[in-house]
Amino acid sequence: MNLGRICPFEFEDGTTRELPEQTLLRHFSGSRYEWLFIGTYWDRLQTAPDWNKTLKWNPPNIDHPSVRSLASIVNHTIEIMESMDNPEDISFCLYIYYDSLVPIMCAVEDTEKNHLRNTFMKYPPKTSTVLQEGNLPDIVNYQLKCSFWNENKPKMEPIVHLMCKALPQRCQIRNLREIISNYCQTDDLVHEFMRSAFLCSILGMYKHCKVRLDWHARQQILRRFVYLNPNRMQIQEWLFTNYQHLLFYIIKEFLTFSMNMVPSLYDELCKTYKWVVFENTVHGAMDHVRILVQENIKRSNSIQEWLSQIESNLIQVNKQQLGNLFRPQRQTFTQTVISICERLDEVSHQVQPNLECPVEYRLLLRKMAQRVKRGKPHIEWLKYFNVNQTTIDAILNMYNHSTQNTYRTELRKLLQNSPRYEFEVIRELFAAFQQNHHEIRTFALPKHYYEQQCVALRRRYGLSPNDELKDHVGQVYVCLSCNTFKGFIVKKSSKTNNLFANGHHKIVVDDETLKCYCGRRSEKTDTKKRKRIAVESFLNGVELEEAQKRRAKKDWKTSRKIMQNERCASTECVKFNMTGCLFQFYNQIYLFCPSCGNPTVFHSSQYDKNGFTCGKCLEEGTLYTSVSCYICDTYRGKDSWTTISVQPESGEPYSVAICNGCNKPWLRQYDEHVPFEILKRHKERQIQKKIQNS
Amino acid sequence: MSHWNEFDLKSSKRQKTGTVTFSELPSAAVISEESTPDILQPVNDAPAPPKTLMVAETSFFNQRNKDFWHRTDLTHLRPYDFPYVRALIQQKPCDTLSPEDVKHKEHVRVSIQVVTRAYEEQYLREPVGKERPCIMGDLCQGLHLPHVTNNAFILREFLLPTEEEEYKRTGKLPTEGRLCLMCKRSEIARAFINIRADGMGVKNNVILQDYRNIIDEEGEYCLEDCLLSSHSIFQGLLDPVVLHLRNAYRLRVTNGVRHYEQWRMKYPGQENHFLTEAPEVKE
Repeated sequence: MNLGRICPFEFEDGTTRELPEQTLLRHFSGSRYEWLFIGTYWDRLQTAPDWNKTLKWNPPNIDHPSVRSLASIVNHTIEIMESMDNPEDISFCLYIYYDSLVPIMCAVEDTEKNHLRNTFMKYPPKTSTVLQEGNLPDIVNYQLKCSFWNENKPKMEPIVHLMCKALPQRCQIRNLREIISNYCQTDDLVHEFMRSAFLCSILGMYKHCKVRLDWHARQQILRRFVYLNPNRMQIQEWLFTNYQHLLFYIIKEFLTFSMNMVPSLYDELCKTYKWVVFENTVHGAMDHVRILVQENIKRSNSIQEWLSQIESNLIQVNKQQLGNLFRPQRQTFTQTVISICERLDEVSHQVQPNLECPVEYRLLLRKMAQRVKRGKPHIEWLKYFNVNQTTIDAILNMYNHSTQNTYRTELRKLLQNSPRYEFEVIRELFAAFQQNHHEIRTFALPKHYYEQQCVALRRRYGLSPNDELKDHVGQVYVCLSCNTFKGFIVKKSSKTNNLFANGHHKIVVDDETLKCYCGRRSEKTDTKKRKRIAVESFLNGVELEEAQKRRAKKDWKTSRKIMQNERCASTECVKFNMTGCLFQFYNQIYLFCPSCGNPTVFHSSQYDKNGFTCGKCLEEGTLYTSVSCYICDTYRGKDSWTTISVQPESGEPYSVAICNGCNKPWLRQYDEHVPFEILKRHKERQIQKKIQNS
Repeated sequence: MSHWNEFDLKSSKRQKTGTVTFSELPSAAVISEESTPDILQPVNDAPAPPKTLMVAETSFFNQRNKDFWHRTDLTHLRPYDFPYVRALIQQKPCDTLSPEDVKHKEHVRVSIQVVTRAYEEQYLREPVGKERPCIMGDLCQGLHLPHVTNNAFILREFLLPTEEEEYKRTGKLPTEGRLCLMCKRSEIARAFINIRADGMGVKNNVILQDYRNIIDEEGEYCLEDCLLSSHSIFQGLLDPVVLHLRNAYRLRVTNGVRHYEQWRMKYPGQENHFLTEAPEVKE
């Protein structure tokens, strides 16, 4: 698998940024190490001075001139690496320089004398391909898809899910081992990322690392995991089926590096998370891990031993971080109140939501909520509806401390013990704020959208370009009882194509008042799924308690649906003009397609070179209304078309539209292009036939 | 009669009108003009309704025809609460909260200018001559790219196409200094991410961008390198704007002028644009 890199030394077009050896040459210029960074690898093999001290890396066949030179290069490099006075960036470059030598070092150790020449040819050191932070797979863009705050993102890509798990939030590690193990087996990107991030962390190849493995430990790690080129199964077995905490911290260490690449995100994380504390903790913990690995490598040759004691150590670190973790609140206080009320009604099998609180109060609350600024719900308004002041104070108190304290149980008790009238009014108040401040909003579209929409709507409503848009043009309906949008939506992902549909769907018009009501009718319960009378639900002719409960719930659901149908039928739909508007309505954003004027939803997938469209109206850049069949010249709508490629006598082939009626089997027999002359003759014959028939 | 406030859902349901039955078909008998009274002709012998009744009926009818919070009989409200509620609902609704009150013709609409990739790339360099540097000064993103250590520089301010046209025409730069392209991208992303973190969508009728990029066209950008509002909640970005990433640029010096190249931003249809050989891949 060949992935993009975060910031490599050598780019895909062959250009390079300053290579580590160039940085090192600048730093060591004039010193006795200067020769290490001058010229090419081949030059150095020729010019390397003999190493007179004790050889730290003492390869076999040292009498071979190239091996002697290599030993000199390596031992000189080790000597500078071990000196403590190198600046951080120089030290980082030195480790890259050393790591580039490891493959040839391993090869020299493993090769017989006769094959040494070939070995030197096969493993030339290259600093640009050494594994370091800039060479990690580029998954920076995926970071923005993580659910950092209070977002619910149900469908995540595996790599995004994995990054989310490593964020400093509560309860993240629970089943991380299984998740990593599964993803590494099934997803190439995750496997490659985990492998690279593991090596980068263990070797200490992030710039922030204060501890890096020494030359010997590095060689052991690189030999085992890189030079010997283990297959995916082996890596999976060695690393990804165990070491939950180590892998957890490896991903965290990657995040502390990569979040910095998106400054806007990083700043927000510093504000909302204790991100700096998180960074320090992770860096400290991983430095300690590297110290442990280095010690372990001295003692043993097995990978299992190399990684021993690390898990227990990281578990301790992890426990100490509990107080620093971000606590996402997936539901706001308002949503919680509504969901608890719904749940209480469900438990008590209450069908009518408004037993005592008049339905008109909802309308009043809606109008009131629309007139105050967005922000917190005005709980004090409950007093206008004769709710007990003690109850109001209790809810206000819970609301004010909802970010610090748990309140669900207390709130549930309060709602449970409230009189029915108060219960309903409280629910109506919070529902009004949720609906009007969050679920339903309108925004003015920018100029270019509006102007395009006006043109498209004129065409859709059969007006001439200079006609003024009348009030009915662009009017849509929504039902605030079942929360449905009543226009015929055209969108890229839908199978049905409503390009030619006008008007509103599931609307009932009162003949006398001409008011519109919602005509949506929910189906009854899932009759197809379960038998009406299940024999196993009865024992000796008596229905089992469990079955009784299930039946009661089913009956309640049915009654609830009937009630919802009645409410829809008696709720007048809200009518408004959506021209030039972005209409946010229950987790969808609606607007008129700037190209065809049909109602559509706002989705990034509907962006292309034509800008934002509904995704259906433009076929090969041509608006659906202007496409006619080449043979019969009829306009039939987009669904009944196909395009075929024709080859003129001279020039490039091009495509023409053919309606389904004219697309005969003989046309479909052509593998590539249909000769234009044949198509033209066929068209003439069809015209003649038409004339004869008429 | 039940109180208006005691709203019964069943009774509110629109009832079907009763079926009309005809007791007899219209007869073919000839009716003379004299025997047919004028439709609007009052019956002389019926007594005139008392004036008080008419006033009562009219006021009752009017009462019924008002929105219910305009009626004076709001028994559920305490007398001293009523003025507040009425005053509140007589106010104009907040911007963005009431779709029924939107008047599309009255809006002053934001103009978002189209900016091509080639146009943007002209601005990814240091200022020359009369051009001004980014208003962020030392905080300019051009100085904070982790992989450009030497020769990092402050970019020139980014002018929108109309501003550039004006500059070319009159030789005058805008009175206030502008952000460079990187800082502008970064600030738009910062506002966008802040709104996302808040989880509420944009508070007011706000669009964060004053320019937009083109995607999926030859020589332009790919959607995955851009920011866009979520499909469920409006976060202030209606058109794609490139996301500023610190690792996306590399330094190039042309004719002695330092430029940044957007090496990481793929071109549409170009696979593996920024892909290099993975480290340690063996042949």
